Amino acid sequence: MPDFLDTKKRLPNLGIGLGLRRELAAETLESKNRIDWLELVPENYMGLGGACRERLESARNEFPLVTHGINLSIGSTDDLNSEYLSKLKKLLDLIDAPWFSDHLCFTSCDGIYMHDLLPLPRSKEAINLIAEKVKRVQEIIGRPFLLENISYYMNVPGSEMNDSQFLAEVLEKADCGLLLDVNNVYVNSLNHNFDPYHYLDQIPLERTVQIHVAGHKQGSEYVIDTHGSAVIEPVFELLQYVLERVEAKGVMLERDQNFPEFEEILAEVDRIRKISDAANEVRRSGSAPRAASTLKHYERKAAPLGRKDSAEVKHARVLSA
Amino acid sequence: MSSLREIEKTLTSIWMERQPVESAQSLNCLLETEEFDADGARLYARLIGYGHTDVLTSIYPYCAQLLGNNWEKVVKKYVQVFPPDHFHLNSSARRFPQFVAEHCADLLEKRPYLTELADYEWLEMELLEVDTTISVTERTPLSNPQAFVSLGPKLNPTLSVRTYEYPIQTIVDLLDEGKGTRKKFAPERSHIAMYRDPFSHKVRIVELDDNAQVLLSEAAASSYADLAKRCVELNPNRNPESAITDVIELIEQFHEINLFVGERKVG
Ligand SMILES: [Fe+2]
Repeated sequence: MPDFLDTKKRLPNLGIGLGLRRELAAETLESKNRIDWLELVPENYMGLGGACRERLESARNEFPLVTHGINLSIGSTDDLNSEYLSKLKKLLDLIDAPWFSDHLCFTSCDGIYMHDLLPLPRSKEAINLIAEKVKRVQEIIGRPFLLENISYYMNVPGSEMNDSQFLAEVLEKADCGLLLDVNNVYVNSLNHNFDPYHYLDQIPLERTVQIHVAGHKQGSEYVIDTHGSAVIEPVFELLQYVLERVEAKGVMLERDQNFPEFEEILAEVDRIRKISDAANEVRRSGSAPRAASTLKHYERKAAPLGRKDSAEVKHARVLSA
Repeated sequence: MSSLREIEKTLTSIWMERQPVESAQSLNCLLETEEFDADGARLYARLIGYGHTDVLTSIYPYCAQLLGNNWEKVVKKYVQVFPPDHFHLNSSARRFPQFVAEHCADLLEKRPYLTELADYEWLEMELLEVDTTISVTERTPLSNPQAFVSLGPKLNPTLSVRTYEYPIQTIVDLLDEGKGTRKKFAPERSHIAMYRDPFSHKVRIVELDDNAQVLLSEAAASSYADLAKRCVELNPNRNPESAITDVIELIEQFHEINLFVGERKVG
């Protein structure tokens, strides 16, 4: 059994969580009865004082916390940033996070940070580089590390395999965990025309430690991962499909903008909890069904791919908190 | 160069708008029949560009207001000269005042105070986030004569005092009212004290006159009595008693607004 699966067994079950966002912080911190844990973007807290520090302290007094980074830049051919890692380690030690995560992408090159999650060529060379860097990161930080599947809007040159093969090989070779974003799977399946269930069947789902659930938006030509609208049924169905097959140690809702009444957010958290409870029950009883019909989930709404308008694109970023 | 390195460098260069999208067609890894996804690359370039403008606008709202339609162009040029080099998003905006001073002669001709305004806005950002713990401690009333001599103020550790050649705070106040974007401002030396409030975590800005600036710059090493003495020296034509009353009032005010955050023993 790969080492990581052993590690996963020892991880605590956090339950159902929410991303900690500045705009929602006050209500979030008061909703301990309906939210089990919080995920925070470490770059918004690493080495920062003032209100950020106060928010972090309040959150850590009330909830278990994990981090979900933006700028580890694991796929970059630049060296790992030692200042970044030491600040991240300090934060993780402070909050005693059971695990931490970042994205399967690159965000920097030649020391330039683009502050966006940028897709990589899906190549052997990238897999080897990432695997080696993940191992070093886990060694330095000393906590289990997860990589998240990103949403992407461009075919990167130099790709030698499809998305699921690439993700699978990275996870196996790096021997790390998966932060599975079911909304990203769904959005990518629409934009790049594949079956999301087939995708899930192709990746080592057993490495899933955490799951992201989020809303997206149909742009004029692309479907955009906005984290700014309600979660739709097909995404909940993907969540259910995954949890009927594998255990996740934490499932959470990502909501980063276009905030509704907080009660609406809590209702989505409740819904995720309900689906998780039911799916966990199915999994434990060993009767997980296969997806009945998958095709309906990936029919494209509009023919050729094109560009979305600026306002929508702009909000695809999830950097602020 | 490995192909991954080559691809990342080329994409970065295109996304940062340092080379045209068409140049990617020369990538070694592209098969002869393969077409580079130029639309996708342009989309990411736009996304990244919006990101830069968003950050710069949120940190430099007054500069953005002043430059109006020109703002996006200025941000673009800034990013070319000083590309973001740090994992902290806000940090990518830190060299904007330097950029204005060194690369914006045309803008400075019309608005020679722009560098100082940018400095003011960055300072506010910096103090908002700086990882400094501000502890506020008890203090003895100044009416106690012994305390007046043996104690001095403890300064808020985030305090920064700036002297500008232009009336930056006046310009900011006008811009807040939606005025002043077309107004010409003559040089007029001004001092401001900026610091973070230990309770609200908001940045507070205090305009200082010449005397208050001198007193504040010496406060960290002075007793309250030293400050009173200095105030009398600075106002040779005034009745010493009223100068001392003034300085006591100033000290009380500084404590009240948490610019002073306690007291320290002197000597
Ligand atoms: Fe996600």
